[in-house]
Amino acid sequence: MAIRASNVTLTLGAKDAPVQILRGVDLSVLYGSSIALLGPSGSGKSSLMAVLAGLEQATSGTVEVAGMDFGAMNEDELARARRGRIGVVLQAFHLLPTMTALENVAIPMELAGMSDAFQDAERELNVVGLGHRVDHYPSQLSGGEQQRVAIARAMAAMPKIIFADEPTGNLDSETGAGIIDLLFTRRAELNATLLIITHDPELAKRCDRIVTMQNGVIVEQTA
Amino acid sequence: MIRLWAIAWHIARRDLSVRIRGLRLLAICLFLGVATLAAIGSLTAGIATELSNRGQSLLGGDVEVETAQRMASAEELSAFRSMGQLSETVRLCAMAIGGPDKDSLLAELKAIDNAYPFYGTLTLSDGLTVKAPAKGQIYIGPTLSERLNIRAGGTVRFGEATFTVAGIIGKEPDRLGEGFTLGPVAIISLASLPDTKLIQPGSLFQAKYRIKLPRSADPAATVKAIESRFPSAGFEITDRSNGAPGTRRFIERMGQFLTLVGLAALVIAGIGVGNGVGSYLESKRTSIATLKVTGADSAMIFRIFMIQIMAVAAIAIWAGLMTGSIAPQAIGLVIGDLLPVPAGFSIYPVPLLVSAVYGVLIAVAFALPPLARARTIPAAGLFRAVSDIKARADKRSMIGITAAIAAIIALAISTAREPLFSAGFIAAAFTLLLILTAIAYALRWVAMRLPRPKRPLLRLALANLHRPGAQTQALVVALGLGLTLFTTLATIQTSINNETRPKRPRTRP
Repeated sequence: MAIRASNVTLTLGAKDAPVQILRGVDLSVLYGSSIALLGPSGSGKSSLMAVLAGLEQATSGTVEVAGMDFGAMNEDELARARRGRIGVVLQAFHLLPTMTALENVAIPMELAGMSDAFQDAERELNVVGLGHRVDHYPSQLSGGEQQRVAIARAMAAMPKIIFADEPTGNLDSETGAGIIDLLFTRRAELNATLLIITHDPELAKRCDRIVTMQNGVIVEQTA
Repeated sequence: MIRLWAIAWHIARRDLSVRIRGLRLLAICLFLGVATLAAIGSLTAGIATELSNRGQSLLGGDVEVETAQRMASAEELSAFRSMGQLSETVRLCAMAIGGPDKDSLLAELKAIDNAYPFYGTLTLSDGLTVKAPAKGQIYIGPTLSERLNIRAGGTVRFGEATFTVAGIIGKEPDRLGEGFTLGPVAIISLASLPDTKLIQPGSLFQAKYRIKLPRSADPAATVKAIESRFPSAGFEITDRSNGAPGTRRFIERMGQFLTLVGLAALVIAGIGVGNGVGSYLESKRTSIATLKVTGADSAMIFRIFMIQIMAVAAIAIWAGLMTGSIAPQAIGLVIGDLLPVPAGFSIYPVPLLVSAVYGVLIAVAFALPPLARARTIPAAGLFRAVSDIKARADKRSMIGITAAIAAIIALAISTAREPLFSAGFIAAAFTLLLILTAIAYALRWVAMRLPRPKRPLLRLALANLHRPGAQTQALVVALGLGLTLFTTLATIQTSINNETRPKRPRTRP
């Protein structure tokens, strides 16, 4: 099992004004499958993804990802656990503005101690169609190109699990469609597990399973 | 561990854009602080070295024996002559009377023999090198010439003798070694002194016996020999290694005081360093969260930004040291006449090293708190607004901060000429920091409890004093320290001025 979440809760905010974000989420995801997370804004989709990607620690419940007990790890251990295993693609791209496309893609592999980080990064940029833009800075790239770099960054280390939070949210529909095609193609090539947050029902239909959330709980799961 | 630092170095180097604005403040603060310390240290060392190098000419010999209110006895003179060549001078305060209006002025009358000076030259204002004036003649200092309106060829009276001015003194080689004088100098020959009838029983005068030793002789051993042979003679004996002890003491004390002032300025600069690093890391908040998402743990974040901060600090410190090291020459060009001796052109490694260490320690001590906060920035910050303004430094960072502060104190005390004075200065500075911090807390506390003004601008201003992340504390501490430093300097300058200003009664005969 790639992901196993059991009775996960997440409460944020000050002690005197706590906000319950997740209210007991149960979710299991098989290796190599793709899951679409649907739901209105504030339903807890991004928070659930953050917990499953080890970016946020659950308040209670069990989270097992790639055979590791995320609940027993602190933030630093979670960061190390992500290296080479988990790729994350975010809506706002979040590339490092002071680094070129090539350097941005190489970062996760460098952190993972991989010796061929730059060669692999260049290969991945070629795969996403940006072989001619390796030395460009994010500010010199279009939104679509930036998201391609972000996908290359998430995929270059060949992770087993990929999380994507509304990857087309900041793009026009045509560019977005290209990005989604790229994401699904690369996932298939890597045989990676994909968990994608989207508001687009058509995009959700391309996934093996659709999980719908509301008020911090999963209200529907369809295959 | 080396591999981790290597990875951090590669990432830090690439991320360290030349356009980084936040670290400019760090660089400027460190540059100014280190340059000030290096300049003070280099100037003090330069003058002290020059005083040592010129020890013989400042002293007028290799060994000087001074007696007060008496001349040396025949036995003493014989002993001095057995050690080397001997030169004899007598110094006393006397009233000079002369000029067209027969004005009078208290002057320093110095009688010299023909052996004077053993080292250096006695030069007149026209550039002529001279020995002792002939009997009945006198050389007078420019101040005396100006005040009494006497030129060469004029006459001036000391006691019961009237002298013809044979020249205006341009350079008196042992001027600094003579120490403090009450008036401008006038030089006559030793043979003319009895004519003045100023040396009477009870007269206040000093006789100085300068001995020029053979090359092989050890001045320190000669001093010991004189002390042991005449243990109760009341001699004040100096050798060439300390030609102008009063000036040296003054320079060293002033240097130490200025170093502490510079250190206080560097501490204020440190607050700038902390703010600069803090704002830089705040601007990197998203990048830090992104790095964490891609697998960087907090230790890696610390390494990456520590490398960047120390790289910029190293460049700033290096530039500060370069500037400080040439300061003695620059100061010499601008205010060379005010210095007791021109500082020698040389690089003085010790003050530069001390300044560099201070710079590094200040950078570490003040950069660590914001760095410690930065390593706690969560990866989840990319998903939602995360406020960790109250995040405290972790244990290891606290140990680092404490160690850096302890090292600054240890360095300040261990390199001080008077450790107790330095310790007192540091204790006062810490007390001041505590007081200012307490004032800042009180200000926030009061601002929080004041009723909200109706005017939006006032309401915003008041809220900015106590809102989370308000800079009230940093501002109060920086302004308070800066103001205290300026007040301290002004007070000391006023004190020195009051001490050195001639004290004249309102009415005088």
